[in-house]
Amino acid sequence: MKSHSRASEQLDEDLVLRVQQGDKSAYDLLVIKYQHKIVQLVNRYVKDPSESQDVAQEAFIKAYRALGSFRGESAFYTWLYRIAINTAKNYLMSRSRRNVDMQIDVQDAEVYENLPQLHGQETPERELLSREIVETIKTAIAKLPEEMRVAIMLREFEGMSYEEIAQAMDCPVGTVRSRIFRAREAIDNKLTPLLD
Amino acid sequence: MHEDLMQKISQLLDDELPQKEALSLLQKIRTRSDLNNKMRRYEAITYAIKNHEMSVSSTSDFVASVSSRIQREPTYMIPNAERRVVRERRLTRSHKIAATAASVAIIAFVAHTQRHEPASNIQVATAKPPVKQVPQMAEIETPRDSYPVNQQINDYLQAHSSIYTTNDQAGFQPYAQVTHYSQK
Repeated sequence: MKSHSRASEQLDEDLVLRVQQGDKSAYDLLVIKYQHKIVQLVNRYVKDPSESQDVAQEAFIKAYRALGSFRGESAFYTWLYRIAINTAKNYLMSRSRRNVDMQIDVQDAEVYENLPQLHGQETPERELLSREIVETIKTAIAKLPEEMRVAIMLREFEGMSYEEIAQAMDCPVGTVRSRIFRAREAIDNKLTPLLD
Repeated sequence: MHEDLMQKISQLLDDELPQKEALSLLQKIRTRSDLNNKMRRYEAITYAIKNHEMSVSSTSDFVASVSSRIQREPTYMIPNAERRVVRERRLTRSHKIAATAASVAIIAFVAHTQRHEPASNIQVATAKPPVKQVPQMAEIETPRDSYPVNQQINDYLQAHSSIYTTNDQAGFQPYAQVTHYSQK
């Protein structure tokens, strides 16, 4: 199962190269691409939403400052995630918040999505909304046509590529692409009242 | 919002969008908040499915805020970084080949010289030792094949050295007499 395609890494490499050659606007595209993932990652450590936004921004600034010495030994996103994790840990240490286990050493940034919750500072309102959203998503998935449900489940739970899903479902890759997109749209439509 | 663009956002999140299209889409998202919001919602859905909880998404001004701070940072000016690496690799490879060829040529030349060079050349090289008392070691004509290279080097160094530490061996000066001026 692939987690990060070669095309995506190649795009990152090109954008990094452009930044290293003086094109700051290329860095905006990297920020756009990874903003949500970095905020989500930082939020694992810093639960306060506004603080996690600030820390995530700081991580992007630190990454920019270090980009001159980035040689591409690892993928850009892995490198960026490590910076974000270190920034979040440093932030917590500077605030003398010891709610997080500092012994956790994330060797691979990809595993962050499987980490258990590091904080328990949810407000009751937020916890309630979170539960409601998750329930809405579960219900929306259950109501999807079978081919859409299977496609989105294979993608999100199994991490399969479109090619692998196409083989598993015995259909063209374009059909998989369309089914996953339509599944997301159907779920998003159900979430609109909650998120807006 | 065009359905085509939303589908591309879905592909982008799955790392299934070809590089050129991904670049083009990111540039569109940069200027269109509706596309950025759609991307954020799709990511929130993915996160919720995987983690069974709601995620905190980046705010709508996140990119603009980072971008304005980046504008105050120094601009990198690393010229042709990628090409430089490739060129360095090529140079290293060509250097290795040249060094190997040069080594082989030197070895062949030395071997050829040792085999065919007349013995008189050594005499020329050792014709003027700096100290008169030094015995003319190289003047002893020795057939090249029976005169090892190490011995030749040894003799040459001794013949050109002004200091000996030979402790009264026959044919050598005691080291106390080696360095001096206006000796009788």
